[in-house]
Amino acid sequence: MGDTLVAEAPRVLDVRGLSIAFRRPAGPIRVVRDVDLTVGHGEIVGLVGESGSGKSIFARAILGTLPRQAEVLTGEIGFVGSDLRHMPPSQVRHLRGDRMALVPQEPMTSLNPSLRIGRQLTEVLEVHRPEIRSAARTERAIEMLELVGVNFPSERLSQYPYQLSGGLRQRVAIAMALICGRVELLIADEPTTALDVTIQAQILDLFVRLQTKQKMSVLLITHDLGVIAQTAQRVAVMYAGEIVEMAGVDDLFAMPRHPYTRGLLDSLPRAGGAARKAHLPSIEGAVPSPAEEPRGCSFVNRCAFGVDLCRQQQPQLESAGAGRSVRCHRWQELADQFVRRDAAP
Amino acid sequence: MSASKAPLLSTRGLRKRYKLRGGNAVRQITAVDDVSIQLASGETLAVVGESGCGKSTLAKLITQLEIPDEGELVFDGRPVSTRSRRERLAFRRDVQIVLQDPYGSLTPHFRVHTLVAEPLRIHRLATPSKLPTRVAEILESVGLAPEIAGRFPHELSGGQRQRVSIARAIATRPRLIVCDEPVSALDVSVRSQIVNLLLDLQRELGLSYLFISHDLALVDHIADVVCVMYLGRIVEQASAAAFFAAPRHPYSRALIASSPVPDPRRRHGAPAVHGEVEVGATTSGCRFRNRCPMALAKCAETDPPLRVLAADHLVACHRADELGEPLPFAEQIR
Repeated sequence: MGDTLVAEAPRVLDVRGLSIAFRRPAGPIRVVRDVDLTVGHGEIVGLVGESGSGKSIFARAILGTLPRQAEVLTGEIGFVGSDLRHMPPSQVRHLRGDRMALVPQEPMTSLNPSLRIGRQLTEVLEVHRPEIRSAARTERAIEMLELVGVNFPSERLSQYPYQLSGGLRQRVAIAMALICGRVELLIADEPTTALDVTIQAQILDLFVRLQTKQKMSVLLITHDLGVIAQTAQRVAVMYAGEIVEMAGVDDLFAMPRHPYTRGLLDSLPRAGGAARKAHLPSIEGAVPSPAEEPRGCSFVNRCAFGVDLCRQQQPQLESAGAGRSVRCHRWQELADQFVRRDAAP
Repeated sequence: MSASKAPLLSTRGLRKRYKLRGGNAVRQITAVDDVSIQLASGETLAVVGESGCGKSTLAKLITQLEIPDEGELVFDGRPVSTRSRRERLAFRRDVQIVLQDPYGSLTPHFRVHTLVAEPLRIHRLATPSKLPTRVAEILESVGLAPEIAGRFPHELSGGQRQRVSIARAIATRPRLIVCDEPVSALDVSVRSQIVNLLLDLQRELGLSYLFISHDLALVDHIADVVCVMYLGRIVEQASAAAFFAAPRHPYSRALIASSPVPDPRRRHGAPAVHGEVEVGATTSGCRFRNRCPMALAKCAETDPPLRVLAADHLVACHRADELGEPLPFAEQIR
């Protein structure tokens, strides 16, 4: 995939060295550690990680909605040229919903249950586009619902969230994110996890259409490698608060460089009769608790390739060819072994 | 479905209706409609479908947590409804359940020891003095260290909790375990550990699984027989090999075409089906016809019965014979 092209595109999001910690009596616990991540104009970047990897906290830092106990320790959050971290909260609040927006996992909890759909959509315009008059707002709400594929859009305006199915609610949440018409970055946090597969396919198709037709930039956060493979151009893999691998989507799936990425891909069940009921390759152990910040590599306890060096010294994210980087001491030695057996052309 | 073995569990025409209140109207929906399945000893029957298809209601009917309105449940050669009180207790020992969410299904103020000992006590399978050893043995068989017994659920990881749920299920030495999405809530790296554990236990203990899942790649890996449900009905039922080689129902094909394949070189084009499952929307004809790309006038008129298409392969579709040879699932997902 055109990694070099993507890298040259103007950056909508440019995060550098971001570390986030939760304040605890025993001292701060770093849940996001030294993360660099960029999203180019009109690009879908996937951020994959398991629970506790720090991916959602990372998203909230960008949106300026960190919980009270969390704070950004270091780093910059560049958004279309300005640093959000040093921007007054009131200004960040103004950007949110206007130029960047969130599509959350469960729209039942993010939509206001006591407001009609129309009211919720037009409220965004009242706040961010006060120059638009009331009648035009309703018109725009209908247009947006149409754009995201809600059937009977004008009838929907008078409905409440509970009257809609999960798929429709998620479409409404996307319409709400886009309604200002100036959104440059959409942050979608597990947007299809709560949906059925046929509906998931429809929503993912919608994201891809928004990206190709409207040049929307999307940061797609998910634990589902299938979702990433179907939609993203570039992928960052997060483990225990760190980015352990970053690559173009084709490269990542064909030639994973980090043992964790490889373990994740290998553990997916392969369809096919021959191996039915055989053991699946698995990553032993569990994700470490963020409280125990390791001296060496954060993955070493579960890694099949760990050596003394990995236990003693923390690996840095280093360049591993065009448009990709990996945080592993041994990636070069292991590279030949890491071509997936079924991925050879 | 394999004719060679006598089924451990079979159902005939199971039906369960619920009243659905919407505004001031009360509608009746049939959550499970005329479901007949057979599960052989030591085999896995996977039930696949989207929310509202009745798969969890089916799980409740089979575990007797709900009583069917119609139909019969036969376990080990005898109808469950005619069993005496004592025999029903034995049924509850023989049939266990593992649920999706290990956070919600373990009582939070019980230690692991109490949780695993509970089924042993209820069914009087160990004397009080033997309980600790027995609990330790069971924990070991699900890959947990004995010291876990002193912990509370909140002190465990998601994978450990699911192992505790499985330990509770196997404590009574059951013959059938109903697994309702047992790995869906787990992290990807832990999921395969639990799948492997379930496969090992099946081999070692000769367990049968009724495995409810929406993950078709996983189903292809573990199932012997596959049932696809849509709005309460079975629309396709076949051996896993036959099903995944050539799914015959348009809905089965749509499910397969919608599964997000973890390979960027195989991106889906446009979505396979439009619209959503609408509970109670159709009262006549085929329930899938509103979303079906192949629907004809007759699909609105007559409800297609589940019919035999080939040995071990049942389909409820008027047009199943006309569908061309599909790409086998493995070709699509690999």
